[in-house]
Amino acid sequence: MGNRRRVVVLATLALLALSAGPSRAQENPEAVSLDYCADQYLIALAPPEQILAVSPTATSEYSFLAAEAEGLPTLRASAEEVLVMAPDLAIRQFGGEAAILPMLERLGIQVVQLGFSDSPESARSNLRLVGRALGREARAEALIADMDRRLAAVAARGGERELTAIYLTPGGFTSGEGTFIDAVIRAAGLTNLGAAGGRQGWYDLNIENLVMNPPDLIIGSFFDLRTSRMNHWSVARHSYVRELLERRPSVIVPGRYVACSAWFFVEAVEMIDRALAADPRLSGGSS
Amino acid sequence: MDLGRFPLLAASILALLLAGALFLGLMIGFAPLTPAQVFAGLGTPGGESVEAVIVWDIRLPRLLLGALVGAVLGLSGAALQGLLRNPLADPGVLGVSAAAGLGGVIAIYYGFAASFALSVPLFAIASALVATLILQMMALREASILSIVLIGVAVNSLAGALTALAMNLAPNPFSLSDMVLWLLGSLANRSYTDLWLAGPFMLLGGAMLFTAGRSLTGLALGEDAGATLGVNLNRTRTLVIFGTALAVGASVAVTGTVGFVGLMVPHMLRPFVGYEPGRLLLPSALGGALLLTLADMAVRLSPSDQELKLGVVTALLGAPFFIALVYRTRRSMR
Repeated sequence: MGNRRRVVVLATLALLALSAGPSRAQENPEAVSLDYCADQYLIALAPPEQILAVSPTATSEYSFLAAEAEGLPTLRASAEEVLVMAPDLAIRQFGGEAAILPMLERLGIQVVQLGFSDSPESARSNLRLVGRALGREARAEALIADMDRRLAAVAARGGERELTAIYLTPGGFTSGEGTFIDAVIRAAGLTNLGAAGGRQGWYDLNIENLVMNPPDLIIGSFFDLRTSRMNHWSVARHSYVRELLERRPSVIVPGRYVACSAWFFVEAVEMIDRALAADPRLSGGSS
Repeated sequence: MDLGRFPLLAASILALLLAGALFLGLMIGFAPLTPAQVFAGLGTPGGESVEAVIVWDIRLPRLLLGALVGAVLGLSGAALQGLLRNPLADPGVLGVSAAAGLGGVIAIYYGFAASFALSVPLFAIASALVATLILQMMALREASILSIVLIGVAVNSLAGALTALAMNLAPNPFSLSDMVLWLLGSLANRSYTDLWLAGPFMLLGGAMLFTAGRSLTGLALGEDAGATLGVNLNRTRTLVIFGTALAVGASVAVTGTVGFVGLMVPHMLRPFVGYEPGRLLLPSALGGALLLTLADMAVRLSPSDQELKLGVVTALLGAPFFIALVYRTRRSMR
């Protein structure tokens, strides 16, 4: 008798699980995000009732949607905390360890792993990926359309500017080919001196090179962060570079525009475009 | 030739070599300037030309700072070896440099540096002083070579751990490479700002160490023998401890911890100038300046995409040297 009851209970549970599973996944699944970049997608695409938790850094000063993240519950990117919260979906770009993802999937939590984007195209595909998983495709397409419209407007205004730019962070890094910043600079119609000679990726900006090949425009970012301390050995600390930043046209892009290489990089492109238009030394063409 | 009878001759040879190395250092850099271009730049101080900016604003401050840091490291190594009568003494080995690095990191990461630039050298000096005082306290009780080095190991790892902790708790994730540089040391992107900030402290510390020279020679025979020769032990100790803290603290504040210079240079020069600690000071300062100038040249000549770190070069030279030295002195260590 006891055995039969147990079988019935198990069968009922199995049925419940089966019926609950697909229906929860079909509509708008409840989701968590594991790092501040994944947070941006979740906050931008899903209404608050669909957000179970975001990462603790969602409200940090390098988070683009920090204001919108205010008041949302947070969790750390550990397997235990995610499991306790029992979301339908977990979104990750780099938070926690990749090793926890198979564990989450085995326990029935859908996982979206975002690729690192290095171009406007990958910014679009990341938005579509999360939009589909959240059942918010329309919202994702609207964000993409808005980004494309604004990029096209800058391209139309700027055309092919015959100006060069170099990117600089407080750490003294600059960016070569294949980086998102390279895409930002090109989207503003400028030539990236950091990619001269086919240099790839991120590297320390060399001060003697900077003196030999001075750019028309210096684009800095992350100089705005209150929590950031400039690297003690950064080229940006050198008196010559400080003077250059004061003397030559430069634009300091807020770190939160470019920290995630996501669709809102268009804000940085527009800011550079406005700076170029406003500076009489640059709006007339080559300096 | 036994230069021991002519310490000034040894110093003059080193000074000539140093002048040559500094001259070569002006010629070498990332920008492929010809010697003629360098001379043209040298002839127009304050000029706006590319050559003038590279020579006067970039290469010269870096060279001067490197030579000064090398000099005080060689000098403090020689003085510490004399005071502690320990062949393995060196600000890097004994943890003084690491402690100074911790002070600098605290000044920067807790925001003091932002409002008051001098706080970086001041914190580094104070922190180096604590480490030097701990060493001296222990050395008074227990004079064995080995135990002093072990205390240095402990001070080193504690300072390293606290530095890592401060960076670990840093409020944003964009500053890890900074930590590596505090632990390894570099002259990259140094300018006159750094020279003016740390130079005066290094000169003052260096002067204190030189003042202690004659007494160190007296101490070489032992503290009691030194006292009978009229050496004021307390004064000598104070001079070396504060001089080392000032010089090493200030140097670490602008270059990070560059190790082993103070260990290698006195040992390499001792056979030439004789075994009197006092006579070793000037040659060690010049030799340290020469060694660091050459090491920084190697950094700039290396064909790698990323600039080598200065501390990596000195450690690659110094660590094998240290091992050989331990091997040679292993019997007298216990």
